[in-house]
Amino acid sequence: MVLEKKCKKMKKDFGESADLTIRRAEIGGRRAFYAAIEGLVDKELLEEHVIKPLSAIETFSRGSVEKGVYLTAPVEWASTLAEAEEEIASGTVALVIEGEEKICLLSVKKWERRSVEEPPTSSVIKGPREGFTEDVTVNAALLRRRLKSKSLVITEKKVGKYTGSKVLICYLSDVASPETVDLVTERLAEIDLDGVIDSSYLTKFLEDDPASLFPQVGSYEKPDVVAAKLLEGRVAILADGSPIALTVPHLLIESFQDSQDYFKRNTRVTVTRFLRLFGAIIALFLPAAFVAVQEYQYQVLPLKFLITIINSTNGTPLSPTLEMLLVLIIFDILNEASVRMPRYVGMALSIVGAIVLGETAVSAGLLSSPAVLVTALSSIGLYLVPDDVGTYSLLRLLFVATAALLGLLGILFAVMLLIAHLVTLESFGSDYLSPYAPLTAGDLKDGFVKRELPDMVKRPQGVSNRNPTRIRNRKPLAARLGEEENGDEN
Amino acid sequence: MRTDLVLPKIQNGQTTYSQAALIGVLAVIATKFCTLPAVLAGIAGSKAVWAALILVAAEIAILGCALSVAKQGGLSALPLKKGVRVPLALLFLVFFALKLTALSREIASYFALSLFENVAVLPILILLLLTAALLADKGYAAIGKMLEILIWLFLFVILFVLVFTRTEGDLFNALGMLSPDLKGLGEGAFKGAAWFGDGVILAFLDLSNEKSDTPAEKKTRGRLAFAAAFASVLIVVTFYAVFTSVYGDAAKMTNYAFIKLSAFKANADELGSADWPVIILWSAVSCLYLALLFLSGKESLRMIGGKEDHRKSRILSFLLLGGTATILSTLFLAEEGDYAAFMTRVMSVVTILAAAASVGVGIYAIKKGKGEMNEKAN
Repeated sequence: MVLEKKCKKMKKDFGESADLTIRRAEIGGRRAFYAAIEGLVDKELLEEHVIKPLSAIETFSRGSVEKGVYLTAPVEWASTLAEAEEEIASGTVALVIEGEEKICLLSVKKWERRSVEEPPTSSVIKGPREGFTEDVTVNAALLRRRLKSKSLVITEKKVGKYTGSKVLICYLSDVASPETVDLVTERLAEIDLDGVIDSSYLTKFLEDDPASLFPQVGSYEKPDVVAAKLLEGRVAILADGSPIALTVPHLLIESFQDSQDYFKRNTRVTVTRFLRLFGAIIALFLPAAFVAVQEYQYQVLPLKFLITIINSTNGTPLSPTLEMLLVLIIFDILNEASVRMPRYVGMALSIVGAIVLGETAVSAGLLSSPAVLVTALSSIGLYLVPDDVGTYSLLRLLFVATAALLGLLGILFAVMLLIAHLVTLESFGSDYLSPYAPLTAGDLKDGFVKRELPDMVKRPQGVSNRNPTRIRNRKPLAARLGEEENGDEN
Repeated sequence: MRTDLVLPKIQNGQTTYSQAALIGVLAVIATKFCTLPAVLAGIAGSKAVWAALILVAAEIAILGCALSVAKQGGLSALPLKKGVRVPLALLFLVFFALKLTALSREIASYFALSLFENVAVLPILILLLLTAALLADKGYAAIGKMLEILIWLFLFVILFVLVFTRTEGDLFNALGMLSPDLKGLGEGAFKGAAWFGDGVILAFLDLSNEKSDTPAEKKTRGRLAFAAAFASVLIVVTFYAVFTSVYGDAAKMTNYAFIKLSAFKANADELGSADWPVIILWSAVSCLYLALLFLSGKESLRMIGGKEDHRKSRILSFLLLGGTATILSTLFLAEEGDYAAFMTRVMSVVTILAAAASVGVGIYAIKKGKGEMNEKAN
């Protein structure tokens, strides 16, 4: 195909896109053109270190082109125009030369990137503040900086017909279970999707039970957290365009753990984890229990407490169930609105929600103050486990519905079915409720009661791995602390 | 050190020893605290404690036999001839179906009476059976795991009750149990038998993958079995002793023992009744117990049919068992008198037959296990 025809075809294939830039040139006495997408290439580098040296070539040959730019841009040769077009779309510069069958591909990619910052969803008081960015290469480098070992293996997959997103599978080859790595690779290979805009798109393809309300794939924005997960034998998945790394297997207990837990004293962390559990219990059951005791089992309450509640709810037009459902739904609406509103309007909305709606509804006698108080307490509890806010907020509505049907007994039945669902849930071969069901004694050291790091000699057994020992020689520490020699370090 | 460690995958129906131990404890304690205390007190008076102890001891012997069957892979894995397998399965099917009928009725009427006002038993019974069937659908292993979660709640409740309970018991009320007069003890043990025999459930578990290879493992499992048996005896006997010390001769008038736990109320002005957590916990335990009855009934049916455990056949089995329980309990056991007569006559006989059969199968399994060990040694 002659040069002009190739140029026209390329323009046509890109639909005469405005950002496709064609620049004519002459290389070694032959006519040529550069094709690139504006905004995806480093213009200065292209001008000074590619176009200038290549224009100076006296006699064209592939070797002379490669030699001309070997310091600045890696060179590859595409066999077909279609192949070159795919590369142009991802930021490569294509150089089409008259009389040359192959097309030269020059990698001078550059686009605007967000710098490495502290992620707003995982800010810490103490500890590393770096967060992932939207650039998968940067994210992989952030992981490499923490795990300076040849055992850190990063394999690449392309997912998405139109996005052609680069997805990286990261694991420690002598820690992670090969079965888990194979399973991740297999499930990613099975994905036949138009595009992957964010790593969350991959989640539903990776989960064992996508219909479940509970997430079976962890999502984290901080490289230090992901590095710690890899050290436990987990596998991480990074996707281009997403600042969120996915980790598998993911267990329920991870929702109650926080990166800062490992930088604090274990006694404080134990208390905090129990507070999170208590918060989750309040979030899930307080509204339902409030409905149950009002509708059916008022005898549970002490007399003084019961009188106070009766006095406060007296005169409200709605039944306890309807009232609670209404307040919970209003809270969820306010929550959704405050997330979507611009920051300053969001603050105004909070004031409207808290003062105008809450106060006015109570003083107008439409809602009772205990119902508003219960919702407020439940919602605070909800945010103690930020990863599962969506799940718990839906579940508490279901519990209120069952409480309306059968009181405390209804809640109990619903809880039993929920636990039954959770105990059968698995994430990449690991039991979701591990280390509590099945009970894995060694893993309890990082459960709700947390032990200090030197005591965690073994990696979690709930996550299958090929190297169970984390601390190989604990004897010097044990001797210093005056601990007795114990054969079973677990 | 570098090893290829891959966690063993537990199939549905296979349980670990600790899960089997918890299922054993659940089977022993689940139904002993509701209507049985009054029945035993009515027949054996203050000797009810001893009658309960005899029955629990017998239950633990049944558990031991059933455990030896489970070690061989469960009843369905035993190489029994058709002439033995089918009648045995039929006996167990009748046993579990009747037990499900009677005890679901007892539990549902307890819920209706103690937790609600003017609510009929039938809707509660249906919802209870539905929940139990849905739990049963998850399999023995899931129930074992659920118990591993509930054990923490159990420990918390014990702590809560110990801290906040002020019992109104009087040791003089319980002194009768020390008298040498044994009148009513045998009759109490016979008529109370209907609430026992639940150890048979363990014969349907599959512990064949949990072989004790090392002496340390054998020791741990031995300790586990002992702890489970000890916990079961301790919980049941302590309850009966405290119950007798609180109510004395009036114990026979307490139709549903849990309702009368108000005797344990303390700090009612500030915290509410300390017995509520116990009631909630028992409700969960009884629900799981019914799920075990569903599962064991389904397994008995499968032994007769000899079919694979497909979801369709499972649902059909649960529908059959649940439907039978609902119809029988509504038509024949609605009155308290009918229920008491059924339990102390028909159900006691069926239970004793099922227990005897499970002991027989257990002895066969023990002999088979020893035979296999000898073969290996040779």
